[in-house]
Formats: sequence, C-alpha cells, structure tokens
Amino acid sequence: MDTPMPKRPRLVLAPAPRTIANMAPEILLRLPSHDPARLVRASLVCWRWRRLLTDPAYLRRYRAFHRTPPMLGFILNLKQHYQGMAQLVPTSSFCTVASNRPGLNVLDARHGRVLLHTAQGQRLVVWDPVIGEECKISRMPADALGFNAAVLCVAVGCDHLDSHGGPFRVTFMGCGKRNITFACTYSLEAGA
Amino acid sequence: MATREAGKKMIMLKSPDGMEFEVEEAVAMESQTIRKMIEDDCADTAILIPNINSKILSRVIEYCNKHVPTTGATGAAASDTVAPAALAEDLKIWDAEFIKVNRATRFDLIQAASYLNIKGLLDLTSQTTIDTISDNSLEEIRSFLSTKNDYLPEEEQTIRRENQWAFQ
Repeated sequence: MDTPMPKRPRLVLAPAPRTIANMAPEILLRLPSHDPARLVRASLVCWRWRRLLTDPAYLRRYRAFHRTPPMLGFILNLKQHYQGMAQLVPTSSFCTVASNRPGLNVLDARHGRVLLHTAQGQRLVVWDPVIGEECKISRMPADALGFNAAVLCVAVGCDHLDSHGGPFRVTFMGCGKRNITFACTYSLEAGA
Repeated sequence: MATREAGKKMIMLKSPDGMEFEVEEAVAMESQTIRKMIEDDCADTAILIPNINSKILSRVIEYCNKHVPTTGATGAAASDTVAPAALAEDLKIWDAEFIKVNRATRFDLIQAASYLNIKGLLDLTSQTTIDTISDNSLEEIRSFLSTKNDYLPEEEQTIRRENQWAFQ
C-alpha cells in the first residue's frame, strides 16, 4: 500500500471504575508507622479497612513502604521488685496491657521477642509484648553457675519484621560445676 | 496548555470530554503509565486518557510540569538535576499550595495519580488526606470518606476492649 494508514490515537486502558473507597489501600499506606494507635483506630472505620489493615500481604506492603521499622519501646530492668522487674517503656503510642513483669529480668531481646529470666536464673520466659504471649522454657540446665542466653526467630525465609507466633529458639551458654562450659538450644517446635 | 518548543518532543493528551493538551514528552513521562506507552512505541500519536476529565487532567499536567525538571526521571536528566535544598523547599511550598483543593478534587487527583502512576502526586494527595483525617473522630472520618460503619455495636466494643491502649 502506498498511503500509510493514519495511526489511531492510543488509548490508556481504562481501569475498573474507582471510588474513593477503593483508594483506601493507597491512603492508609501513609498512616505513620511510629503511631500504631492510628492503625488500630483506622481499622474501626469499617470492616473493609479492618480486613485491609490485618491482611498479611498488605502489612508487608505497608512495612516496605515505611522501610525502617519504628521503635515501639524499650525494656529495662527495675529494682522496685525484690526479685527485680522488667518493664516495657513505650516510645510510641503502642502500650501493652502487661508492660511490667515482676520477678523477671531482661536477658535478651530480638526479632520481636524478649527473653526474661528469674533472679536466680532457674527459669526462662520468652515474651512477645506485641501479641502479649509468653512461653515458659520447660527444661533448663539445672546446675549452671553463670550463664547467658539469646532468643532467635527460626522461621524459614523470615525477615524478622513480623515473626509473631512463629517458631523460635533459645540458645543457652553456661558454666557448670567443675568449670565445664556448655551450650544448649531450646527449640519451640521440639519443646526441648 | 504547553506550547511547542524547538527540539522538544510533544505529546497530545486527550481527556474524555474532548479537551486536548499538548505537553512535552518528558512531562507526560512523569506518568509511568504514559511512559510505558511511549516506550512501547506510540510516541507519535495522541493518547486518550479515560476517566480523567479535563479539569483534573490539567491539574495533573500542572503538577508534572512543575516537577519534571527536578525528579531526574530520565537517565539523561538525572545527572544534571541534583536539586538544591532551596529548590526542594520551593517545590514543597508549591505542593502545599497545589493541594489546597476541595475534597472532591483531591479524591479525583488521588485516582488520577494512581492510574497514571505518578508517585509524587500520589504521595502528596494521599498523605494530605491522611493528615486531614488522622485527628478526626471515627464518625468524621466515615463522613469525610463517605464510608458507612458496618460494625455491629458488640463487634466494635470487642475491638475497643482488646486494644484499649489505642483509644486512650
């Protein structure tokens, strides 16, 4: 053909008609991450918003958008209780109901969990302040003279930003009688 | 409406109400949606943009015109467009004025920014909306966004009880 066909104007593909309600994911993404109370309050606007704000995929997107996770608080050991007391001091609007743990002291905190121990070290407790769950470590080396321990998330492929309720391990290192140094690991899945 | 300048490639954008906007290609390419179309080789044609009326489209173009020199969106522009702080501050002030629009226009701008995929405009419009409603009561937020409360009273009470810290 000698005469080229004139090009037809190109059309940007029209998306499904949008309402402002459909734009909620974009708008709510901008809720400030350092103020989690706003996330909770926003979830009470309607069920649609609650479903969105509790959807793991959306929360992954939310975290990616805000990049650096916010600091919700810090934990310190207080002397006010005769056996010591761990206290969560909020630095954001987040405040757990049971922020004081009388008789327990902080040993370690990692991946959203806090490792607590009793004053004499006979008992270890893993505490997740965000969801308010705790797990007592049932088997402890009985004759450690001195020890240290750490808690770690062991969920496969986890970025440790939302590992609540997932598997974890506690590694324990101590010095026993006759100067024998030992290490052991507690696995939540195995319960030992 | 943009005027043709020597050496600058122009693109025609058409709104569904029949208005035509001739804009520099670089300005149009602030929209990732349009950028993809241009890169897919339809640069010589007019582009019909459905669902965005001429009033909103002209505001979107206004935004892109203002932001195109500093975003460094194209590889060629990126090297010589390190925006000085003063320029960034000027843009912030301009943005603040730009977004002083009524609720309906802002929502139209959010939708336009979303489907034309203009990140800066989407950030500006959505963030302004969040800032507007964040201190409002639930009822005010629902009214502002024309959303209905579909919670049963007992459901709402349960959530409030389980998250008392968020309502103090």
